Amino acid sequence: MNAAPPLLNLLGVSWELGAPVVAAVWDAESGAIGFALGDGHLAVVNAKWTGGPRVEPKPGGGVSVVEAQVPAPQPVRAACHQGSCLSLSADAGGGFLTGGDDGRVVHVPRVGAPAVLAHVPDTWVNALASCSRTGTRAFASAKQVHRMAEGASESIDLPAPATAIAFSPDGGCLAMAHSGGATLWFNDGSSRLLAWSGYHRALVWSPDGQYLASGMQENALHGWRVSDGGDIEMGGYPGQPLSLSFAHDGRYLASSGGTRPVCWGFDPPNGAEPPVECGIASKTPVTCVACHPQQSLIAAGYHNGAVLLCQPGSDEGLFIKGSGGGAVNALAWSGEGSRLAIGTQDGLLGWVTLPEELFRSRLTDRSIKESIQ
Amino acid sequence: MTPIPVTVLTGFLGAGKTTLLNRLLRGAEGKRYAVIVNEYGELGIDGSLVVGAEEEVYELNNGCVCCKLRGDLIRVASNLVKRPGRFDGIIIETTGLADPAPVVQTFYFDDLLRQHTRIDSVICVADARHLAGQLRDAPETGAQLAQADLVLLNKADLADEGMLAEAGRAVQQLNPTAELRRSVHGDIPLAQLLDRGAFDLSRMRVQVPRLGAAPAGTPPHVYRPAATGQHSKGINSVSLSFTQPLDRSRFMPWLQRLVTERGADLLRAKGIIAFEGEDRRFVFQAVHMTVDSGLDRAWADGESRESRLVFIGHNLDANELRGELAHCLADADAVMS
Repeated sequence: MNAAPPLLNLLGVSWELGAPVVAAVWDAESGAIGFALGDGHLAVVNAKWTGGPRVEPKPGGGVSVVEAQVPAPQPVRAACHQGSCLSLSADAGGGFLTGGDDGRVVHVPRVGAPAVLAHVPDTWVNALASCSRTGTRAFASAKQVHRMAEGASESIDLPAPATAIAFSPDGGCLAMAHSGGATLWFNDGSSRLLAWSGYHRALVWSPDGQYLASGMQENALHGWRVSDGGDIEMGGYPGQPLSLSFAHDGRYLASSGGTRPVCWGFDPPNGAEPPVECGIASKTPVTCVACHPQQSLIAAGYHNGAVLLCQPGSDEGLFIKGSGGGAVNALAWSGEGSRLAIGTQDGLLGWVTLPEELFRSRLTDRSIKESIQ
Repeated sequence: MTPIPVTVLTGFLGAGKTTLLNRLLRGAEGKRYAVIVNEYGELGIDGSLVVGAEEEVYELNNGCVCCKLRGDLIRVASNLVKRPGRFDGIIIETTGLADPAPVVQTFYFDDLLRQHTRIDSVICVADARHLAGQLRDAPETGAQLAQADLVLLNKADLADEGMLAEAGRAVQQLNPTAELRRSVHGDIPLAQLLDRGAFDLSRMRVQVPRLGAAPAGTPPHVYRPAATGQHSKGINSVSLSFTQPLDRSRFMPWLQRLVTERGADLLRAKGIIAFEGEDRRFVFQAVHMTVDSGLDRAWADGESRESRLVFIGHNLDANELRGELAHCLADADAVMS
């Protein structure tokens, strides 16, 4: 039954770079993946692999795998920080932004050498973001968050160091998570505190910008209806849900923190309704989730290194990567959802093609594996 | 992967923490330590890494005022486990006024840190000359001593025997489970400071001092009350031992209730318990509401199956604890009637 190896081996490529992967993002236009590493480097992988593995329809149904004709493009490492990379974002102007424990914000362009954009000595750049709408860049260091646009820079003081920052989908404001809640910083310079007692460590906007959700140290999520600050409580996790991802259509919010991905309905949110779990029940916790940008699919990474593709409400799943290589620290879909980037604690990084042909029938591990053989 | 041991270094200003830390790093001999100190900035000492962090103590929003953690430590330690090449240990130096409990709780509460690290010990460095006086005057000294599993009476060369004896007595009374050592300029072998396994249930030792006789009118051979410290402001310790086995179905809810209702007062608790009908030792330890417990090795042949418990906290009532635990004895009904 499990004769077929995981899809990463069939349709992907991976490397061991020796330093834990902290985060991974795609540079949409160039089709490159940036992997921020614990040794202060950014590994950039060109994921355009002409002559790479592909699937072909088989007469009579199913697909067969055509092996790669040429080797995949190798990762290119750029030295960015003296200690380690702490944060990573795709830059709206192309390339990547990294933040490090040397207090620097570094831009790694598509072509050319990395450049230091900002330096706040003796602080750590825990979080950064770049707004695809406005091109504004923002980063957090100590109890301040800085916003840089068109050569001008401004900053805001927070009650506690920011743990995560995210621009709203329309680019109108920057949300910043911290102990005691989240602060919204609007483009006109005004700000508003969404107070909720506890330590907020992760942040995500719903695709329509109506809701903001945080992952809390207290084994819970918290949601706010941004229009009126209404609270949505989502608790009951066995662990800390620090990886959050909204479905492409905003209908549910997927999260780590359990032994299966946990999905809360957001259409509209209803705190009274229990969340839906999906995928295969495991003993090892989910460390990372990423919703597919176009379909109702969730990539879930586990503490034991496995990566599973699953659907909300279904107990089945498709193994993209088997266990090993340390906890999954990063998962990122390419913009159109045909490729998935993976990074682990033990320094494995790679990506896999997931061609549409695989998803034409109902998604089950068996159906896909049988169709591949 | 083996978890990275975490050592917490506490102690008052001027007690010699920094001297000890420097000695420690110089004696590291090829080992690589990450040291978290309480100021911003980062520098390397002899191959080790020193990271500054500003103390950020947060109350957890779980309805319990004693569940606190250090946001700065989560950030720094989470980053340390993502650096390539493992550290042989993490050493956290706290300020002279800091309560070490949130430091310890941070490593219990956080999933990532629990997966990659383990709290190894809390070491309290004290100035042998001033300890007894500080215990009377400053409540934070008591909290630091209560959490410690090793107390270094430093600057022992500057103290006379009387001072050393008084300091020793004060420590013993407040925290009978702590190991006591004298040192000069923090000169103490590395092996005695690191990898102590003080939070490892399987290595736990609970010493109950045998002081004084049982109060009159109580049944003999049931329990043996020990000293109640009177030296520190409102912080005392209660040591109890029972030669009769305890009833698991009574003891477990009692312990749960104790840490839930009295967690804020309870700085530290440890116990090795003999349950009726159980061949293995049950061990537990608690910091406020955070309890770690489990069945340990089997009682050895010839080993006295004596339950020993030590509680350290604010305004603990020895008689009350003793009475409640007597109700948890396997033959409590017979004893009480």
